[in-house]
Amino acid sequence: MALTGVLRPGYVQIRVMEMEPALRHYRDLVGLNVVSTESDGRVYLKTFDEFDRHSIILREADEPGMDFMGFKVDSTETLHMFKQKIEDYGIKTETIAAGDQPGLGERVRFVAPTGHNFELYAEIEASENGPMTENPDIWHKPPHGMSPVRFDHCLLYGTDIDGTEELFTKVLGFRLTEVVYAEDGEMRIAIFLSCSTKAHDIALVRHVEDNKFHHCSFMLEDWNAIGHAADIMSRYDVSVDIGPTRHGITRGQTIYFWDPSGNRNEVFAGGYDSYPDHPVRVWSAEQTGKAIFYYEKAINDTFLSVVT
Amino acid sequence: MEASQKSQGFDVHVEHKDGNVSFFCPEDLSILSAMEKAGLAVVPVGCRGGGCGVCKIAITSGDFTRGKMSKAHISEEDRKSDSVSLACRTYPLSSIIIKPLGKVFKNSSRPSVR
Repeated sequence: MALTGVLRPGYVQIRVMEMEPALRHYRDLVGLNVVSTESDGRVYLKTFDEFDRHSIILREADEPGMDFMGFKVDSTETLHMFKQKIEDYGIKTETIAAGDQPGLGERVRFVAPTGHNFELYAEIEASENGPMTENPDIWHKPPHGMSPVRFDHCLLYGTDIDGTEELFTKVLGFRLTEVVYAEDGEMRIAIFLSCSTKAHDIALVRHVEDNKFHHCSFMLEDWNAIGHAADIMSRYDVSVDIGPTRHGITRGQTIYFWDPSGNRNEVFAGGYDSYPDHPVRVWSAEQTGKAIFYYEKAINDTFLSVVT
Repeated sequence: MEASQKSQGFDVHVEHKDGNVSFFCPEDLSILSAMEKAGLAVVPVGCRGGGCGVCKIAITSGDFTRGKMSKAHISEEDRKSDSVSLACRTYPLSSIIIKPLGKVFKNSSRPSVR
């Protein structure tokens, strides 16, 4: 097996201020399926094409943002190995027993230098209606809404992105795929990290505050699906940030938009594949506009200011 | 109410450093939404969902109701004082005078962080 260690982003828990409008957004418009609603009010959702039980968790709270993001690792042995490595690196971890969240096995939680809560886990129940595996049709029934294929990645904002990058690259086996430098040519203002052949599994932008959430991203099938998502956003008056457009970074075709509590979402398609032997792609400060929004060639004001 | 009558709503007066402006806010629209429909940009527009705080306003006078807003930007005390709010979640119940407080970082004025 060539892909080992951390496999992929598996879930993200997002705080919403009112559950009903959030469900109209994530379930009816984005097009996720509700897996379960628990007694504490949390709602667990997934895309039509994910094998695991859930990927998006919504929790009602007074303040929007991200509670934590979870990465799936290849085995329980690997989970314990990473726990030790993170501790050895000097970051405390907390083990959360299996069953604390429905269907989820043992989790190892830690706080990254940018203040974000991350979790690793190896075990999660298989979805009852995951993709078919025997003579597989492409879906059980036609996907609805924006027809997201999977929860793909998050972009997070914080001060010490170099610290979080080092933790992810030196300890968790991620690699840098793309980077944006500040005017001085030395300070990194945005970094893109992959644990797979995706162009990014997590991205970080330098910011004045820690533990901020820029967006969680859903992969769609292709550029036509992005157009369909844009149609849904206009028809149902979704608050749109920018797009459809393309990122220079990762080359993904994209729309940024907000949920009813102000958490940014992305739908994206395309982008390149990355491999461990590929060189890092580098953007200089004066090309930042093109790096972020390839067609506009300029960053909009909200990209740097609007986070939860 | 007669159907021919002008739709219900209230005037919003904005005290802005580049000059004061006013626009009409139909009932059921937030101040921010009415401003966007009027083609104005005197209050910065962010997430439009009460989450990011960039459309924060001071309310000098007037009555209003409001929807859910992030506690990170509008505290319990702010709510009680009735003097600050987020324009995206504020619905006038009378003519109202507001002043923008929030800001967005222009790319050229990116905050310096290390």
